[in-house]
Amino acid sequence: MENKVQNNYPTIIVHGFLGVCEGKYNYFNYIFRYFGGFTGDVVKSLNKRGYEVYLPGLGAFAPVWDRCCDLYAYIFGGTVDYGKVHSEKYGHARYGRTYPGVLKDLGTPGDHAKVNLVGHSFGGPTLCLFSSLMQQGAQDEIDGTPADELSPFFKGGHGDLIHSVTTLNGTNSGTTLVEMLPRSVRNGIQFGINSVIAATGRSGFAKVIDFKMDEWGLTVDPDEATEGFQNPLDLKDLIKKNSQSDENMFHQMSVEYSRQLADERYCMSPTTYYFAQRCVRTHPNKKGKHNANLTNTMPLFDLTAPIIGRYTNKSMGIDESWFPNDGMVPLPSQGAPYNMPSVDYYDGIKVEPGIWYNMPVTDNDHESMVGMFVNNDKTDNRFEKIIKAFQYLPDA
Amino acid sequence: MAEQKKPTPVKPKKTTAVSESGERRVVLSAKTDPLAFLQEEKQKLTEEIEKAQETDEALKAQLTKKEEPVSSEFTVNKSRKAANREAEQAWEDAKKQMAQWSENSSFDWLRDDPNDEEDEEEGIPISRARRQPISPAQRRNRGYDRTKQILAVCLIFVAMAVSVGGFLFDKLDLVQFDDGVKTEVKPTDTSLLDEAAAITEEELKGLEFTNDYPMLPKGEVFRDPDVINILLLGTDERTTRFNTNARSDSMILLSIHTRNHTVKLVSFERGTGVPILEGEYKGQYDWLTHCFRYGGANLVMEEIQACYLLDCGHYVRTNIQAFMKLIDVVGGVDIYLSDREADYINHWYNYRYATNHVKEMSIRDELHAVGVGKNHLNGATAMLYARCRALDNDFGRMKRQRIVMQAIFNQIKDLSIPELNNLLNTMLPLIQTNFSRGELATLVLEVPEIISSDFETMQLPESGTFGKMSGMEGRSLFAPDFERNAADLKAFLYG
Repeated sequence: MENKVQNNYPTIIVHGFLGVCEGKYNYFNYIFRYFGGFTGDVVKSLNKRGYEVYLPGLGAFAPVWDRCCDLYAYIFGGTVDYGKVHSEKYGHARYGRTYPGVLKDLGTPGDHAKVNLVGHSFGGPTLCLFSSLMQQGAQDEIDGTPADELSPFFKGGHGDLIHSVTTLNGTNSGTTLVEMLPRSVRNGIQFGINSVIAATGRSGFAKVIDFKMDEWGLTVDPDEATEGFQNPLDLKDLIKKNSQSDENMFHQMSVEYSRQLADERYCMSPTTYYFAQRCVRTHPNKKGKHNANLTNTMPLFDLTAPIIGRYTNKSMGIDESWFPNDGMVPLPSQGAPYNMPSVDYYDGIKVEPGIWYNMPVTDNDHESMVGMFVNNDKTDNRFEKIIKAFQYLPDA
Repeated sequence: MAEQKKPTPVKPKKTTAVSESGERRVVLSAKTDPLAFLQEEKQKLTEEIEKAQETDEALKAQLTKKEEPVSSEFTVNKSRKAANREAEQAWEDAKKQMAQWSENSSFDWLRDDPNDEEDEEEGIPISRARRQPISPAQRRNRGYDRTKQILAVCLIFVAMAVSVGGFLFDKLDLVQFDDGVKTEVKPTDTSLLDEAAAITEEELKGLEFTNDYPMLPKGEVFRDPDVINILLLGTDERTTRFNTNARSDSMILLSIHTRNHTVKLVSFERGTGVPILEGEYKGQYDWLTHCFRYGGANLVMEEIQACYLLDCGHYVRTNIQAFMKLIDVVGGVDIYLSDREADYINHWYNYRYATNHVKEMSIRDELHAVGVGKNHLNGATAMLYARCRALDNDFGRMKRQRIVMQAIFNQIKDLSIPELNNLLNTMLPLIQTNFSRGELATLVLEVPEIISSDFETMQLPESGTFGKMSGMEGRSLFAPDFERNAADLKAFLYG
C-alpha cells in the first residue's frame, strides 16, 4: 500500500431495515434521515466536503434479493429485473421501477472506474449478495432465462467494478434477536409490517413514505398512487405471499437464513477489498452476561441488548461469544459473513483484496454508528474517515 | 659550644585541591615533616586497601553464590521465563514498529478516541458507573437530545404495536367468522333427531308433570357494560367440519366482569323445553339443543335471551373433535375421578352410549386406563369423561364439562410462547364465531384474566325449579320456571 491517494472513486451507502432514504418524494426523508437522524445529513455533508456519495432508497422492508436488483438498476439505470426464475418462484412481478442510473459510466477509466459500497445493518448482507452476484452471477437465473432476456446483473463477471465492500454493524450472519423468535412469529411480524405497507402503498401516503415493494403488489410508484388507503384484509393474499415465504425480510435477518444465504450465494472477488466494521455497546456483568452501557445508548437498546447478551443456542453454535452486541446485532455476526475467509485487522497488517477484514471494535450502538441521535459532526467525520481510507487502497 | 637547637616538630599543614581532571590531590606545605606525613598517609592507604579487598571478597562471594549449581527443573523454568520475556519484548518491539509503520501509512480506520467523553464509562463496573457524578458541562455535552430519544422510542413502540397487531390479525384470520347474516330457520326432518340423545326416564324420575307450558319471563333484558357474555357452543359433529345439521349439546355461558375481574360459567341444560321463536315450528316446545338445528347459533342465543333475560349477542362455536384436539394440544388435563367415573372410562364398552360415542369418533385406540383420584387425561379420554351422563344425568355431565374447561385453562397457564402459538394455529381454524376481528382482538386483552381466574359456576335450570312436560313430537322436556331462573341468573351474574 502506497502512502498516497490512489483514487477518488464514488461511494454508495446502503441503508438497512426500516431505512427510508432517497425517493422521488419521500417527504419523511426530509424530516428524519437514516444516515444523520433528525438534524444531520451524512450524504449531504460528505458531498459538501467534495466526496461523490450516493444513498439509494431500497425497500425499507424489502427482501435482500429485491434490494440487490433495485441497487443494480439504481447504479446502472433501467428497469429493475428481479429475475425470471426468482419472480416465478415467489410469485411476484418480474419487473419493477425504472431508474435513470447514477453511475451509468461505471467501469470507464478515471474516477468512475470502480465504486465503493458501504452498507449498514441489513445493508451488510445486501452488499454481500450484491457483490457476489456482480462477481459470479446467478446460475439459476442463467439456466432458467432465455439468453436475450437475461439481465447482465445475473450474468456476473463485474466483480472488478467494486473497489471495496464495507459493512457497518452488518447483520452479516443475522441477529439473534430474530433467531430467537419462532418462524411463525417472524412471519406474523412481517405480516403486520406488510399490512401497513399495503394499507398505505397505493395512497397519497406513498409520497410521504415510499416503502418500495411494487413487485409484491403492496405499493405502486408514488406518481401512480391515486387510490385511497386500502383495507389490508382485501390484500391479504398479497401480504401473506411475502410474509410466509423465505423472501420475508424479517426472517432474512435470522442467523439461520443468513448462513443459508452465505452458503448458497456468497463468493469473494479477488479485486475487491472487504471490511466489516464492528461495534459493541455492552459490558459483561458478574455472571458474564452482557448489559447495555449506561450512557448514550438509545433507550430501545437498553431493552434489546440484554436479551441478545443472554441468548445462546447450542444447535446453532451460538455461545457466550455472541453476548457482546450493539443493541441489535451480536459482535460475531457483524464480522465477516459465515464461512468467508477473514482476518482480524491490526495496525500494520497489509490490506489485500479478496479477504474480509474484521475491523477494530468501536464503542457505538447500532444507530449511533449512522448518526441517529448523536453529534452530527462526529458522524460526518466518521464516514469521511472511511471514505478516505478507501482512497489509499490501490486497484488490485 | 652553642647548644644545637632541636627542631620543633611541626604538624604538617595540608590543603586539598581538585585538578582539572577531577582527581583529588593532597598539597603539602613547605614546612611539614615529610616522613611523618608519609607514614600517616601510608596508614590511611593501607586501611583503604583492606576495605577494598573486603568489598571485593564480598562481591566475589555473591557472584559465586549465584553461580551455584541448580536443579534441572529450575533451569527449565528459568529458560522458559526467559523465553517468554524475550517473546514479550519482541512483541513490544514489533508493536512499536507497527505503530511506527502505521503512522507512516495513510490507510487509517475508525478508532475510539480515548479522550472522547462518550467512552469514559467503558470498563467501569455497573455499580460504580451509576454513581459517576456528571457535571453540568458533561450533561450539556452529552450530544443526546432527550426529546428526540423519546420521539424515537415512541416511533419504535408504534412500529412494534403495529407488528403485534399484524401478528394478531394474522392469527385471527384463521378463525371461521360468521358473516352476520341471520341463519335461515328452515324446516328440519325431526325424525332424524337421534333418540340416543333423549332425556332418560331416570332423569325425569321424581319431576312433576305439567300440562301448562312454561311462560317466558317478563321484563327487560338485563345488561351491564362491564360484563362481557359469550355463549360457548359445543356442537355434536363427529368431524372437525361444521355443518348446519348439528345440535348444540353443550351450551356454557362465559361471563367476564371486566371491573370486578371475575369469570363465571353458566351451563344451560340441553333438554330444557323452550318455545321455538322462529320458523316452521314457531310456538311449539322442544329441547334447547334442537334450536341450533332449527336456526343455528342465532336462534339459540335468542332463545336464551328470551327465556333467561340474558344479554348474550356473541358466541364461539367448536365441536367434539376440536375439543379433543384442544386438550391434546395443551398436553392433556388433570382431572380427579371418582371410582364410578374411573370404572366408566375403563369399562366404557359396558355402556351403550359410550360405545356408540367411541365407535363414531374412532377413538378406541386413543383411550387409556385411569385410576381413582388425580389422572392426566388425553383428549379422547377427557372427552369420554365430559360426555358421560350414564352415571347420573345431564346435570352431572354439565358439571363434568365445566371441570374439564377449568382444567384446560389451568393447562394453558403453563404453556410457553411457542406452545401457545401452536395452540392458536391448531385451534383457531376449528372455531366459529360472530365476533368481528376487532372485537376478538380487544377480547385478547381479557385472556390473561380468564386464564388466571377461578371460575364461579351455575347451571340452569336450577335444581327444584323445573318439572317435566311433553313437547314437540312427544319428546319429554324439562319445564322450568323461567321467571325464577332468570332472577337467580341476574343475581349470580350482576350481583
